[in-house]
Amino acid sequence: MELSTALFAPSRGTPRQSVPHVPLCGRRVRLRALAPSDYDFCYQLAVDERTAPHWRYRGAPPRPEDFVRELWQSVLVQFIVERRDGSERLGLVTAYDANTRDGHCHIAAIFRPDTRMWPLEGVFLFVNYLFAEYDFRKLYGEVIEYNLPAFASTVGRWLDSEGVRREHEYHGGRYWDVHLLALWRDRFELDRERMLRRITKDLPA
Amino acid sequence: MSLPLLEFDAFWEVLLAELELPVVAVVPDTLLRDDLAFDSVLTFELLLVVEDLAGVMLPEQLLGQLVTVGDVYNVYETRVTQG
Repeated sequence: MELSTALFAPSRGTPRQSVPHVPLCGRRVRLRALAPSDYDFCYQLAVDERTAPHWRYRGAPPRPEDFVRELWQSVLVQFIVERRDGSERLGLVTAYDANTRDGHCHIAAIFRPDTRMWPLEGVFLFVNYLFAEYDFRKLYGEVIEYNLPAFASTVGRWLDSEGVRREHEYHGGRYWDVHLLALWRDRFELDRERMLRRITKDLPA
Repeated sequence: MSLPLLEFDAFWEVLLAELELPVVAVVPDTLLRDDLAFDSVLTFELLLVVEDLAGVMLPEQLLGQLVTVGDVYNVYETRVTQG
C-alpha cells in the first residue's frame, strides 16, 4: 500500500465525514477565480464613467500597470461574478484588509452598470463563502453616501451601522459621508439557510 | 405540475411572511418604493420569492419595471396561468 493511500483512506468501521459544500453557483450567477485574462474587464469597470465613481479610484483613471498590481493589494480573495453558464462577466467581489487575529475583513463589489439581480446574488454567495472558509466574526463594507439608499432596507435588518466618516470623500463637486456597515456572522446565520436554499434552487427560465 | 394560483391578498400575505416583514394593508396601486420602502435589496428578495411561488425564473429586466404591488401580482399571475 502506498503511503498516501494509507494516510488518507478511511479506516474500516470509521464513519465517513461528509465534506461541507460551499456553493459558488447560484440561480443566475457563479463565482470563479480571477484570472489575468479578466484584468482588462476589471480595468474597464474602474474607468467606466458609470461605475468608476463607485469603486476605489472614485472616477480617477488609474495607470494600467499600477491597476493590475493594486488589484491584488491587501486582497485576501476575490472572484469574478459571471453568468451561470459562463457566457458573460458581470462584476468582481473582493475581500481585503483581513484581520485574522480580530476576526474581521472588508468586502467590496463592483458590477457592470446594466446589472440588477446579479450583484446581490453574487454578493450573497461571496459572503457565504467567506464565513464558511474563514473564521471571521464580521465583515465590513464601506458605503459612500450616494450608494446608501440602495442598501437602506438592510441597515438594522442585516447590517449594523458602525460609524460615519463625515464628508470624507470628494466627488462631483462636493464632499460625501462614508458609512461603515458591518455584517455579523451570527446575524448572517439567521437567514443563511433560507436565502441559500432560495438562491441555489434551480428553476426553469 | 402546475402551481396553485393565489389570490391577491393571500399572495401578499405569503410574500410578507417569506420576507419577514410586518403585515401591512396593500392595494394594487400601493407603491413598492415610496409606500413600502422597498429598495433594491428587498426587491431582489421579493423577486426570488415570486419566482419560487410561480415556479419559474423571471427576466432580470423586470426588476426595473415593478413599481406597484399590482405589477408584482400581475407578473406572478401571468407566469402561473401560463404554466
